[in-house]
Amino acid sequence: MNAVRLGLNAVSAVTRKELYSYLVSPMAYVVTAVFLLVNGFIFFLIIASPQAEASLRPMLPTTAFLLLLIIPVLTMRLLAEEKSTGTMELLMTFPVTDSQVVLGKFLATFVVYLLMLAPTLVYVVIIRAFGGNEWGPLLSAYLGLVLLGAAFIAVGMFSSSLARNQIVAGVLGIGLLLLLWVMGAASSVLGPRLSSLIAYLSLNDHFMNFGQGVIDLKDVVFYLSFIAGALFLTVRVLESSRWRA
Amino acid sequence: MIEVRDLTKYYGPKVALQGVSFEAERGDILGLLGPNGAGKSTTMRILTGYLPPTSGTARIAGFDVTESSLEVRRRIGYLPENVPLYTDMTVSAYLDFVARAKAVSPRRASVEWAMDAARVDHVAGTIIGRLSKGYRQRVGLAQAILGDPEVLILDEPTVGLDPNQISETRQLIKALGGDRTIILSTHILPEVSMVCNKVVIISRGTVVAVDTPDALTRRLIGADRVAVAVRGPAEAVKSRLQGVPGVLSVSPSPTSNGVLHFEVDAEPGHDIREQVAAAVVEGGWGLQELRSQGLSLEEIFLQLTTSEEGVPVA
Repeated sequence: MNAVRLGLNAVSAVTRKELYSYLVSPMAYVVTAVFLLVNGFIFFLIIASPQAEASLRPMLPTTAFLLLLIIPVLTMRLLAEEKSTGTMELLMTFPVTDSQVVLGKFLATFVVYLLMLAPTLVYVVIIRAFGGNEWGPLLSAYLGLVLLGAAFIAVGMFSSSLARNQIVAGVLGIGLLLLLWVMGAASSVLGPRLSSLIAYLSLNDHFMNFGQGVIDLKDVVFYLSFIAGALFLTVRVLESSRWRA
Repeated sequence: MIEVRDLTKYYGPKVALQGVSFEAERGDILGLLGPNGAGKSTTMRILTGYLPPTSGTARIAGFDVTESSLEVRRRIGYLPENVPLYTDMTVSAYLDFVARAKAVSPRRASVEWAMDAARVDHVAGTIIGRLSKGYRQRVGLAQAILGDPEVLILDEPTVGLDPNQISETRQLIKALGGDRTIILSTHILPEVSMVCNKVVIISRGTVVAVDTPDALTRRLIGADRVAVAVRGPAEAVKSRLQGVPGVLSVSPSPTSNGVLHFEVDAEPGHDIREQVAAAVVEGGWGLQELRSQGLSLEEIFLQLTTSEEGVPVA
């Protein structure tokens, strides 16, 4: 029990520190501003068009793609900077395990992401004012966005663990996410068995179901295991970077 | 408290450490002395569990640094060479984070004590990135002593400081001694004699001498040490060697296969090798080996910083 409490304290120490760093650096604010501005503009275009429907569904693919481009910017710093400035060395001599470091940083970024997403709840108010009266699709859309964002953060952290340079980490993150995004399209050229596996790994396909107002347990499990897998790989990279040194 | 056995570390094909062994008892302030690139930082990184050794073992408070890394990390405070700190945080926010990460309790009081001891209390609200090198060094020291760990590992704690700061830092380290065990690395000879009670000299990844600072300084400044291997009766050989003019002391080393090994210290400027050889032959014993050890130390001595100007004596 005591070990669990100490473990949670270590994770929360890292999370607090990381939230502090987000708070005092301009990056999180700039990313949030860009996201809200572009996303708001898209929302306006969709809602103002003559054949507008009172739902979030038409804009979800664009929002998801926008997140794909900006979340790696939010995560690129996380581990790459610690490596390039040398603070990683000190961090790793504290009684904090590699997985606690990774989990703590992930949670901090997740909190920042939720704060970034929160203002978009005005869209819900507007949609309801325009006569959209179904809660189901709205809820499923937000659940989808939360899971998708968390998966992006996990991939972004993994990229950050691979690089020493923040920019490289960011570009790598966007590249990996784009690759996972377009994977679904590969199914048409590959054989049926391989293609179903590849399509399963596509972050995009699972997200689309949420947009339709369907919460499928399979999709939720997919995202949760995807996040766990990416974080696990990040921990392994951190561990191995020590043994290779 | 600290036991290092046969530590070897390769970076790829490059040897960084080769069979390094030494020990420190509780309360020791041990200085790792050596020129740049000798393997001081590598040794410290292995002790903190940050780098795994290629072979050999290191134990702190009885815990192996690779097998029980977390137990070791709960007991150490570490100041890395270039003092990596989060430059976007204020001093107090940073130390609060370190206290949480080290699970120090009571947290507030411990942070206050560390800030006080490292004399950074008046810059508590300043962002670390805006501090001078000297203050960053103090913040680094504050995080190392936070939680009052049993063992402090300080890599070049006075490098880059001005003379007054150097003197202050040394006083602080001495004051921190007492119950704690401290390992510090340096390439400055006077620092060792001022602060440490035990010195380990490393050069090119191997330990070339373990001694007290005074004896070491004597040897470095010119006293010659000669290693002799003799086949003969231990007591008679020893007393005969002591009788050689210019010899200060004769200390026996472990015997192997019936061959006696001695380390003979001579007065500065005396090359006693010929007299020692003559003495052994006159005694009718077998001289197996005779070599000057002063030379290797001399070489290292040339690469060390041996004098400082303007630094008040701590």
